[in-house]
Amino acid sequence: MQRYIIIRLLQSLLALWVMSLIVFGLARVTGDPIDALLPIEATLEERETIRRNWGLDKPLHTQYLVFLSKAVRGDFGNSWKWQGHTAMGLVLARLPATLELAGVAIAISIVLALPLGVLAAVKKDTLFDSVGKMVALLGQSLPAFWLGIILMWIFAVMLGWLPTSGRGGISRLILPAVSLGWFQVAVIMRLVRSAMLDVLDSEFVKLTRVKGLSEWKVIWKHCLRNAAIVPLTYFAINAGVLMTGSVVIENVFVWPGTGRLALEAIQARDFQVVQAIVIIFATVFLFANLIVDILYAYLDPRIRYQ
Amino acid sequence: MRQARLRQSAGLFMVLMLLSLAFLGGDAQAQTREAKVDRLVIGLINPFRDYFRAWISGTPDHNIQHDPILEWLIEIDPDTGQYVPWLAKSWEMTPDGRLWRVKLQEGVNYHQDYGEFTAKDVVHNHALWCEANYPGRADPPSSAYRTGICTVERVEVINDYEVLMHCKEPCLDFEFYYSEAANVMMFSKAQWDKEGEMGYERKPAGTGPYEFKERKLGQSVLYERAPTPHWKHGVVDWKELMMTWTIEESTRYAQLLAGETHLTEVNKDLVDQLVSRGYKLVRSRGTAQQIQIVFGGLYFGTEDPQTGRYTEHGGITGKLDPSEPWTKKKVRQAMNKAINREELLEVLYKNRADYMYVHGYYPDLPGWDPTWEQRFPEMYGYDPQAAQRLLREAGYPNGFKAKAWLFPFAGAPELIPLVEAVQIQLLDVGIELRLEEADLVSTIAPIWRARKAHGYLAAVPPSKKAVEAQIAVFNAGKAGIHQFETDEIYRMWEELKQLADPTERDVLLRKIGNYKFENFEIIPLFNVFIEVVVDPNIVDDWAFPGWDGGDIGHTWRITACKQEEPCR
Amino acid sequence: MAQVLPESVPRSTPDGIVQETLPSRQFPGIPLFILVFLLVLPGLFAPYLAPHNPIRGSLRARLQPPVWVQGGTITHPLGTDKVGRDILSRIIYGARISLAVSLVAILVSGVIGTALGLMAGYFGGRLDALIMRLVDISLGLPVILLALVFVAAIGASFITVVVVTTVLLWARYARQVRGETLSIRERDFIARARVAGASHFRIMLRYIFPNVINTLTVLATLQIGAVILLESALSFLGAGIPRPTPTWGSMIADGRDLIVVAWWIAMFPGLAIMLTVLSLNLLGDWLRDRLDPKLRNI
Repeated sequence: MQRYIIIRLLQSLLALWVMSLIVFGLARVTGDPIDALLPIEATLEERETIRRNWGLDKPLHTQYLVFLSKAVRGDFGNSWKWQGHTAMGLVLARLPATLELAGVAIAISIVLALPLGVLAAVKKDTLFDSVGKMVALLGQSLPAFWLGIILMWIFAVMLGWLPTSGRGGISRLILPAVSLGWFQVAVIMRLVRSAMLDVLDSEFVKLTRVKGLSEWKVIWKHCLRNAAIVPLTYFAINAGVLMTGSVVIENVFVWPGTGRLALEAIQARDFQVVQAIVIIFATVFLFANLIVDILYAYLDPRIRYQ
Repeated sequence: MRQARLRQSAGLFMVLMLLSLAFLGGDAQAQTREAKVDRLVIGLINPFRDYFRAWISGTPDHNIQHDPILEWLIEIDPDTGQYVPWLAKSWEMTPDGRLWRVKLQEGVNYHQDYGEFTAKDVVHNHALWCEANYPGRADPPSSAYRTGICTVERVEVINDYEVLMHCKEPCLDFEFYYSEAANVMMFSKAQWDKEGEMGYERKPAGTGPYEFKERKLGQSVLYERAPTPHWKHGVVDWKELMMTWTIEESTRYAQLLAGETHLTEVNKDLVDQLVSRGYKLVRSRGTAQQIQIVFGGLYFGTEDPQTGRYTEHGGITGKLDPSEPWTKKKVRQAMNKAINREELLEVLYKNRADYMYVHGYYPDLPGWDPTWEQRFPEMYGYDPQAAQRLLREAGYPNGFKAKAWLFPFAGAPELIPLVEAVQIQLLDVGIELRLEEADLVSTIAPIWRARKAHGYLAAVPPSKKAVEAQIAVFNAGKAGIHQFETDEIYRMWEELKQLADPTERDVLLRKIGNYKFENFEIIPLFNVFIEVVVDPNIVDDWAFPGWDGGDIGHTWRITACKQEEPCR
Repeated sequence: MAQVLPESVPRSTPDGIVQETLPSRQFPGIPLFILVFLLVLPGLFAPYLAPHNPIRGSLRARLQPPVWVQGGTITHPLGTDKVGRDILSRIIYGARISLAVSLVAILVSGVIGTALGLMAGYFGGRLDALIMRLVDISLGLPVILLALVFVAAIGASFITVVVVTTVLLWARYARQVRGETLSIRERDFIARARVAGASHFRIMLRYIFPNVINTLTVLATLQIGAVILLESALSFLGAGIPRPTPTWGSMIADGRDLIVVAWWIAMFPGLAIMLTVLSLNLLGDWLRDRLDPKLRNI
């Protein structure tokens, strides 16, 4: 067991290191951050001074070593675009907003997808099934930003029920979360449906039926319990999908999260912040997965010895 | 009887008094009526920079966050476009143009008890920009205007309220470089001494009508009315002023309609839509930007590393390529004549702009030549046949292929459809443009700086500034733009810098202007205004000049609508 | 996790025995019809079908509404955009670009993903661990950010869009194919082939690959929609296929700021995307039930 944990830990660290190489390398080829920061009229001398101050005059491998040695201590340097802030501080300040949005989006998609998936399995090929599927598929068929703008138009401007944008309170969370979450509904619905079909087929359910429990109870109590784990697993694996969506949605709804921060940082060639975002996300994700893996291994001894 | 009468008249008196009181009271009420909201929310596109130390990257259009709290020496009057007193009460130049005597406003106090604004603050702020190793300043200063700002090489203090600005060479544009159109806003020396430079970020003390309250990075910045009436503007209409940043056009539009913002900037189509819904269009009192298309690769001037001519910004790397079609004057004229300006003005700019003739020249600034307007139709006017004839004469009977850059530019959303429309218009004379989407700062600027923009057109909106500054930046290679450079124009510019007599200067400026005009240096299009839309229930008006830096400044002049009905 | 999660979605059907547990769905006639008319025909015959040049427009004719709205004309049945280009023509030509992007991206990511998936599943061990770790990374990490940095570095173009899409999509194929391969390799005919002396490469290509084709077909059908949407998201972020090339995604991105003034600019390409992706999904569902009913976790 110990050996397994150590191997997995090393693997994760290796993955992190590769990520750091990729993001560092990519960032360097995107262009000169001096161009993005200084006005076009800045003199050569002014540019060189800044370059020295930021350590950009050093050879690339030296820059990388400096970056790496600081990064392992959680120091990603100072932001270039947001003067007076550390890259780490900026990301950490924005992270809760993104997690909140993603969390609620996941919740919304699960709340929608679970019953739809169950119905699709139980009432296969009925009107219920078709309508439910259409609703789910609709979310998957629209560009998220377009959906966002239209939802904003309907609910914030025409009806005036919800605020258009920004963060603060549940009311501001609804529109972006729906725009982000709807996209996932169809996928999860499919997963739930097939999981349900499997469970409905199983001996265990047949047995409970024989025992005379009402069909309703069988479905909602026994089957759902088994099907509910599916979407959670899905999100655990596909966190990247949510990130793609949140970059777009955060920009439409002026949501102060890391997605928007990332886009602005990329546009400003603020490598420090881009690096911090990618590495912090990678760390969180890889270690969350590591813990999941270890738990699985703990529960299922066969894996350890594979 | 008498008593009754007395009582009667007393009663009447009372009634009259009450009535008049009521009347007066009502009147008084109308006079003191407050703004309908305590917090004015301005929905802007982006914060440009979310820090106050302007010297870190001093592009002057980006001073909007400084505007409510900090003040400059010289104001640009929104209505007349003239330089008028601000923290400087008066100023005068010696005849040799090398010394300015500046008298400062007395009794102006900084926020947060940082004491009175005096000569020491002027010295401090000048040093922030011009002193190579100013103690306590971590980052080196850089700005479009640093050369101009630092032509003043020394600030001599006469007393607390009077300074002498000594210039290296004639500095006739002193007013411009120390006005709000440039970067030298007056931070507090006392705050610097006490808190260091980060004090300016935590809670900058200014002398403006608002105090800084809070900033949410990348989201908004909040100001509140200063506790004591402002020395110049008295009490401003709003208790609080908030700016929010929203890149998405449709989101800003929705915010205004939902009442979440009271003033915002959107593209002209949306402006029209909002106006038809009863919102009010407010535009800068003067011209803000000149929309023009620049030819890449007009590097006719000879470089000289000895004197630094065209080499300061790495300009020496790119050379003139005479095989580029538009290095021939006839081709440049042909392209100008292929542009249907009337159509662009009417359709894209909704006729809310004026024609421009020469880049950097304005009727209210020195060097203006009133004959340009008459000569323009003949030389530049739309005439596809003439354009084709010119192309034939230049050796391109079948036109040629070229490229154009497309880039999003905050506040100038028309630039992209403009280039797309120009592409279509040029097709009619056989010139085929391939459009390339690129990033202004990371892709285009380095190419410009290296003088390698051969074969590329770009639509750009330079903002209004002093004429010499324009020539220095765009024609004399004193910046990374290298728009149109010849030895002739460089020589005239050098001569210009030595002139101290305003009349002689005016004459030479006009000569340079004519040189540019006759050489078809650019495709001049329109003088445009900055447009904002306000909720007429909340906001009455906003007078702002539209100059560089002052782009959308003068926030204290956003007045509240205090009447029941919308202020149309 | 690599060892666990792919199987975490229950697959109860015993290996190799295809149980027809689902009644076969109705033939998706309408979706197919929509696809042919919205994607395939315009994609193939755009120059013959489009009434106007999709790039050239007339500025004076800008923002014209569709024919059935007041002010619209039959010349531009679906109206015109910001510089007076015909929306219908752009949608028709856009189908061609969308189709091209999707096919190329799916082909590239499919080939890469399948090859890696086959190898991972067939050889197992270290190689499997390595590949699956890559899969984890690309599914879980903010690859979109790296993709945007990539576009910022080399500029937006057809190629960059395909590269970015591939980077984002290959992992799905790899994961799916590996899962299938794991179970197929245990079957008798593989063992027999091995005994007969077939090389690894031959076994993978000749014996395993044909068995995953169905899965790939279903996955690819579903992914075309994903590519179209991804392209539109990239356009929104300023990293899509550059102007004035018409793509559905960039048309929406371009018209989004005028959605209240000239709704038709963004609405029609939006509808085109919606109908196409919807149809592809329905078709994919049908194909899945038809070809491979045990394949439920795509």
